[in-house]
Amino acid sequence: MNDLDPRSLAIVQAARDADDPSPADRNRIRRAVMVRLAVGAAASSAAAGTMTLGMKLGLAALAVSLVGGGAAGLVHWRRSQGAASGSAHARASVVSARDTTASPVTIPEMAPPPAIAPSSAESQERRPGKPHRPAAQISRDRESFTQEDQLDAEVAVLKRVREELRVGRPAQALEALREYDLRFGKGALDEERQAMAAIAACQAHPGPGARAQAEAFMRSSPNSPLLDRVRVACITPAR
Amino acid sequence: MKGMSLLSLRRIRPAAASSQPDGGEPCPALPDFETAYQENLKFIWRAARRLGIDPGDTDDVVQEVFVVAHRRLPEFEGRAQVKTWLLKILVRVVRQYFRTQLRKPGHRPSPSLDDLDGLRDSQTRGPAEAAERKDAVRILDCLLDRLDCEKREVFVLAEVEQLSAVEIAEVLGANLNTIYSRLRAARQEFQQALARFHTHELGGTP
Repeated sequence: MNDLDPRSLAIVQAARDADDPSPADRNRIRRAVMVRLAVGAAASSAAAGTMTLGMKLGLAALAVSLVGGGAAGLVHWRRSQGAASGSAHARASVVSARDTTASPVTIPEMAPPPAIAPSSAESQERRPGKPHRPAAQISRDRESFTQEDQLDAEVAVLKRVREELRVGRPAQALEALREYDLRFGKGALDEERQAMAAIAACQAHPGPGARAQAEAFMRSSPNSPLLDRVRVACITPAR
Repeated sequence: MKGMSLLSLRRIRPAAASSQPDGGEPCPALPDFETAYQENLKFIWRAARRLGIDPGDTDDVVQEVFVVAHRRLPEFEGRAQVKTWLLKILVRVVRQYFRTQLRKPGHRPSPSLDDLDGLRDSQTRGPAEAAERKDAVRILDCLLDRLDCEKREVFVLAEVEQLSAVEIAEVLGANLNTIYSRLRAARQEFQQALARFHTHELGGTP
């Protein structure tokens, strides 16, 4: 096999060690991997139908708190969801996940659901051996499902925003963000919405206005895991 | 990172080589995830870039590699080096990335040598070594963009990551002769592209 000529070799050698990840890159990726491992555990349990909204939020809170937000992330989720019954589960799930660090996939507190879910309170009453669920509990469950649906819907819209930004279509991203605002207002993922709005603004109309929007986000969410992305997109010059 | 480390998230399996109870072959050492991450992030990052991942997408691709590695760690048989194993994952993730990119409208077009015009100025003007290196990276990427995917993979693994032909064959799952043949062709095309670049730089015919 012929070796490279000296001129080509010089280019390769000069480039070899010139493009290393910075400490910030290392930390950012490490945090993101952590989040994905934690959320992956949540997703696999959710797919198995064993996860309530509270548990999902708990895992999300865990993920957010792991990426540097600490208590702020948890507070953000609790505040977003108001006094939802998930708060207690969320606290429990965080503790549980920390205590069971050996496996990110199985979370002991997530007990398997009944084999056949009762379709109504009446059918529950007829089923021997099943505890009666009071109407208030059923109502809370329904509310819980609605919140869960909304969370999934919010995630879906923001994923679309992210995709549009990734392929360099900030106008479409801004349009999707407008849709988010119309549908959810100040939703549970408002912090993520703000970050993406800043990035989209910087891509679509770079200038003092977009930069100010980015800086406002960085001030209001100093612990956001998306901070670096906003900074790279809006503040620091492109690498 | 508060409270937990990547190490604490790994699935539990003995981290060091241990002897079988019956005195047979020792189990291969299983790398712990934290160590694998710390030791290999740099070259996975670099290889992802050289394989043509957009700078804005590098984070996502590198994350995906380590998430897959975490999931597959219990399957790691210890026959290959961790580096080779991770590169194998990287190549698959990168191929998937390009398949997705090609399906998207408005995916990044291949740059032309004209894209290097601005570079030449900074190259001649920039006295700082760091700037020159950065330029070298951009020239290298632009030249690598001239290679097709198969040749690019072989070239990056051989010349940038300095893997042996046997290791490259392992990473790409290809025959050794195929690797030699691709590498020869890749080197030739790379050198020709660089020569064209220099000709262009000197104001000659491209």
